This record gives sequence, structure tokens and C-alpha cells, in this order.
Amino acid sequence: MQKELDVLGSRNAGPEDFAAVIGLLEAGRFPVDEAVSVIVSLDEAPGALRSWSQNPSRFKKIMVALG
Amino acid sequence: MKALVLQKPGQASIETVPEPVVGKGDVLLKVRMVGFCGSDLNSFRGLNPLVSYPRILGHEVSATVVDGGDISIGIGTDVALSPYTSCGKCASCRRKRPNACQFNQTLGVQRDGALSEFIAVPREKLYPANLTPKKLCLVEPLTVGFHAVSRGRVTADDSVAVFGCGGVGLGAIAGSSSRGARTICVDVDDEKLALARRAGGTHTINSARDRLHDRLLEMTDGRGPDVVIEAVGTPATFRGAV
Repeated sequence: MQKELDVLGSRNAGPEDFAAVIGLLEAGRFPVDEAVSVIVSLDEAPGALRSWSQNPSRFKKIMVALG
Repeated sequence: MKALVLQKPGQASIETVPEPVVGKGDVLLKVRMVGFCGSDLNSFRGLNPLVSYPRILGHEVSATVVDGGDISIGIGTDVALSPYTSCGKCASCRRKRPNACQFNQTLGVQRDGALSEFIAVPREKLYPANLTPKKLCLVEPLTVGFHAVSRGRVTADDSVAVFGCGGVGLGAIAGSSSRGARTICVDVDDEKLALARRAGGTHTINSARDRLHDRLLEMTDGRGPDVVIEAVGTPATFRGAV
């Protein structure tokens, strides 16, 4: 209160955010490979979810490749 | 077609499900890659109050158009997509904030998601881009942090502290840094802090080891951050942000 704080919520995203992120990725300005811990197949995905649940800090981002 | 179905908390399996119904204005897509989000983990653990079961998971999507129908988007176009809906009638929609729609149904949460071979999605939800499926799959998760940066009205004159360097936090760090702001990344995990620097963070604080308040003052010439983005989601970190 004393520092006139603005407390703002943020929910999901809009088209301008999608455009900005696409621009960032197209310019190569994000460490994509380092951000993805593992890529699994659809058949492996249930097991990956279970592994993640047992040890959440083990993975940053799990992706499922369907084809 | 095959899909990953969460039958109930703790029970995920690959099932055969009907192919999607392609409605008017929809585009039929072959799903290429889907990312797991922290909210999917919560759904798996039975901790997501928004999800219902059984549920096909998946809202971080890259896909390729297989049938554009009447819509002008070419077969073979690679896309990211927005997984939300908006009703147009609630207070948020009427305030032109459809992203905060009271009746939003996110893919993989309130309605079946994209962890299936094919999905049908309205044309206006698609974002074609010249990116690999892996990069397209990262678009949606990064937009959440970008939106927070936009809500925080971050400029190049600001010092921004981002609490939490997971998926949402990384997007906020990248968004803040792309606006030229001093971007201070806070987490308890050194590996995440190293990645945060690669994503554009200018400073890092491991709050399990360092005195957070003192370090923030040091890094901001004694002023404290102009914007704090809380991307952890706990009462303690919220109080810390305030």
C-alpha cells in the first residue's frame, strides 16, 4: 500500500503474444534444445508421465512426438 | 485413432478413440508434437481442479494441416495453435479479454486435447510459422510468460525479477529480455538458472542459498525491481513478490 503497488493478474495469452514468441523462435533467440529434456513416442508417453510424477525435478520439458 | 487418455488420476494409457469431427470453420490437423505442461502433471496426480476425467491430454501443440476444408490454409502448412476458447458473453470477453474468459475450455483440460493422431481446430486458433515441429511445440508455453511481461508493461528502463524458472518463468525471462529490461531470474535450482541465462536472463539468484531481498537490492541500485513476475504459484512466493 505504502509503495502504491500494482498487483496484476495474467491469464493465458493472446494473438500478439503468439506473434511475439514466433518472432523470437524464428530469430533463433531461445535455447530450444537445452529447454527440452526428452522426446518420447506416443506409446512411451504414459510411462514418461509416470516417471515425471515420481521425480518432477528430473525433467524440464517432456515432448511427445506423434509423427 | 490412437490417443493418450487419462482415465483417472494416476492411470494414463494409449487407447483407440474416434477420429475428430470437423465442424464448419474447422481445419483437420495431423498432430506432430505435444509438450507436457505442469498442469498435465497436476491432472495426472489428481491435483488440477479444472480437469475432468476421462480426458485426452495435450495443449502445447505443433501440427500440420491435412484438410483445410473451405478455409484458405494450405495442406502441409505447419502450425502452432492456441488451445483456449472464449464465449464472447462473459464479463471478461465483453471487456475484450477473451484470454480470461470465465467459460474457457482449454484443450486437454476441460475438453479433450491434442495427444491424439488428429485434431480438428477452428482456423482462427492456428498460427502458421516457418519453424520445426519442436520449436512450434514450444510456442504456446512461452506465450504465457510473454503475456505476463506484456501485462507488467515492461520496458527497457525496467528491472524485472522473475520468480520461478520453469516453463512460464522462461517465457517471462525471454519476453522481458527481448524488451531490453534487466532480467533477474530467481529459482532454487542451479540448472534452471543456467537455462534462464541462456533464455536472456541478465542476473540470477539461487534463493535457497542467497538472501533474496538483499541480492535484489544490490542488483537494482537499491531501488528494488520495478516489476516482479511470480511464476511459481505458492503463497510464500506470492508474499515474497509483494
